[in-house]
Amino acid sequence: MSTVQNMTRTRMKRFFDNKIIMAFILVAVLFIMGQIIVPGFSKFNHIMSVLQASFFLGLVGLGQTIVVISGKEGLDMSVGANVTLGVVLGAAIINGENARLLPAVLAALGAGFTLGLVNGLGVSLLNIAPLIMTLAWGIVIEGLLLFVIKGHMFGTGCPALELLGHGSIELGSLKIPSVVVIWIVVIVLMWFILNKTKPGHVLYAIGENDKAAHLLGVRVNFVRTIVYGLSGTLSCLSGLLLLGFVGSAHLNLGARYVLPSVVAVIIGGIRFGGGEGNYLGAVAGSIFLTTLQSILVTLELSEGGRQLITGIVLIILLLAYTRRQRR
Amino acid sequence: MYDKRNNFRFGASLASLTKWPSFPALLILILLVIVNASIQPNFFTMRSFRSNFMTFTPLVLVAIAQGIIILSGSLDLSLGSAISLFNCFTAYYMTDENAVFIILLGFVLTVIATGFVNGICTGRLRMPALITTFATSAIYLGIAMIILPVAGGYVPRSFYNFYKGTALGALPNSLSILFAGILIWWVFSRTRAYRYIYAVGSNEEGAFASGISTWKIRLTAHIFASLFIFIAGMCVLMMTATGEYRTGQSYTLNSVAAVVIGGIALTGGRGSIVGAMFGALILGILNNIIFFSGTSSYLQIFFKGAIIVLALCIGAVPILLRSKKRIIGV
Repeated sequence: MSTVQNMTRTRMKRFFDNKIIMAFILVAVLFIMGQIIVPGFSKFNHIMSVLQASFFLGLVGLGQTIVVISGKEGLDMSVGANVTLGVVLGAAIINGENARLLPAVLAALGAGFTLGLVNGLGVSLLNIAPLIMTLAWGIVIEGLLLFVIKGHMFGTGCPALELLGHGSIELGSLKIPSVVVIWIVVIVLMWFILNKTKPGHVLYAIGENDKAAHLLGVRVNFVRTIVYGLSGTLSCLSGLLLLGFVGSAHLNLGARYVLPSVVAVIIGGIRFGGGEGNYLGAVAGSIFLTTLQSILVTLELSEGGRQLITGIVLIILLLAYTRRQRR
Repeated sequence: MYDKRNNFRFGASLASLTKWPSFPALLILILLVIVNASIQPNFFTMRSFRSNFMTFTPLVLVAIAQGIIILSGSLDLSLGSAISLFNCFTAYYMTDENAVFIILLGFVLTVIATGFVNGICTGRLRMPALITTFATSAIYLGIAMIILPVAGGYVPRSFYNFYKGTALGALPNSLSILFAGILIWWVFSRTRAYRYIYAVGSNEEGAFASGISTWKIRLTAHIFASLFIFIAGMCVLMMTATGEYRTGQSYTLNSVAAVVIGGIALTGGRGSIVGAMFGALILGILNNIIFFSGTSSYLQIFFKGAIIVLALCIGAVPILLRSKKRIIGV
């Protein structure tokens, strides 16, 4: 019995590893297509600049990843609002001075976590469907931001933040953006936490079967609430770094991360029902989507066209990955 | 399972009225009407009645549509985008001559988009409804944006005048449309297919085991709902008299909120469409109250979101209490 289980387990594991490999193959195909359409698309420095742009989606996607893994059809649709919050909060607090960077980071972490906790409480204690809870709560955050700002933005980033968000380390003619370095650290750290530490195992356990996890003494509601809080934190932090990348703040910066973060998670083979998946998949997904966007922009497609293609890609992937068991 | 109590019988006694699942929604509605009437001085005049139902009618119609879909155990997050698509499509192609033809085309488009595509994806192909309809929503919105990137298009003036007008001297046309929609629902609610929707929504395996083709019933629910989405789209078109891809967006979340307030369980199979109608009216009147209480326009989005969150929380409480024994701790 146990050997059969082990065999199916290794086979499944291999299959899901393949999904991540598949996602990276898709990325490679896109880069080759890009090279055919625009010569120079796959040069090292351009690849790095695509990776740099992917980082922000990747960080939002990390929050989305842990929320989806935590199960109960988990999703966080308020990430867009939280990214905007990070941008606005950062601009308002920093206002051009390096010395205020640390308070801004702390404020972004705190605000993101607190607002994310509300999602978590609604989902775990009140049993509200995550998608609807987070969509509605995202509207509340956006409404609050609109009220505080009243239409005109104020504040800017500071040189240190711009160096972090937009700068790069130069090795001869090769430029490695600083966010890519940060991203690599985050990926390694996440791999370690999810696979080798107790919190990681607990996360997979509640996603796989929360009743069983409860019987084993895991405080399911508590963990799930924290997970939503962390997702809020990560999006808010991503927004703050995004301020360094784009330079100036505006109110609809976050909206373009909502749908892509979900698509990235699905491309990465993270099971929508929870309990399975790997952050590396979401990384591949974010790079895939950013590259796709980059090609579509090069082709001068309108925003509607990009929306349409993202939707179609999502449907195709859903068809391939998430169909329920045959009955 | 299908429950007789879900249908309100006018001869029922007061005791059975309080057991009616839509009863809390009715109480809230009455309370809010009183609040609204006290801050809006001319609430009970014909004029405000008419203008109120111009905005309430599409909301109630999408709530009926969402209610039927949710009862079948599915969900449609694309109905707002479908309304936007209908809006942009008709406004872009319509002239005075071909209006009827274009609306017929728009009807077919809506039925295909929200009825067949969503119904087959969630029913036959067994894709998760939540995220699938979210994806189709992106597709419909994308097409709408391609057709009409900036607000514009042409809608004959007579459309707007009709929707604004009254018949028989007192009955607002928007209200007549609503009554027509409710009548269609009432006829449908007497059919066997409608009972099967409850069966599939509450216990899919059980329904399948008793010989119901569950995916066909789910498809039926989606197609039937698409009819209401079309009527709602027509109302929105006549109300705004222009084409814009943002017009439909708010209906998605509002329809879900209305259904939840109305006491329909998001898991399907339990609740009544009448409750969803009350829920929609509650949301409409709450918007009225926000508007007439003189709230800053910057705060209105916040309040609208907060009301939906509040509605979700309130809707969750009875289910939580009912299932308390089963979910101790978890």
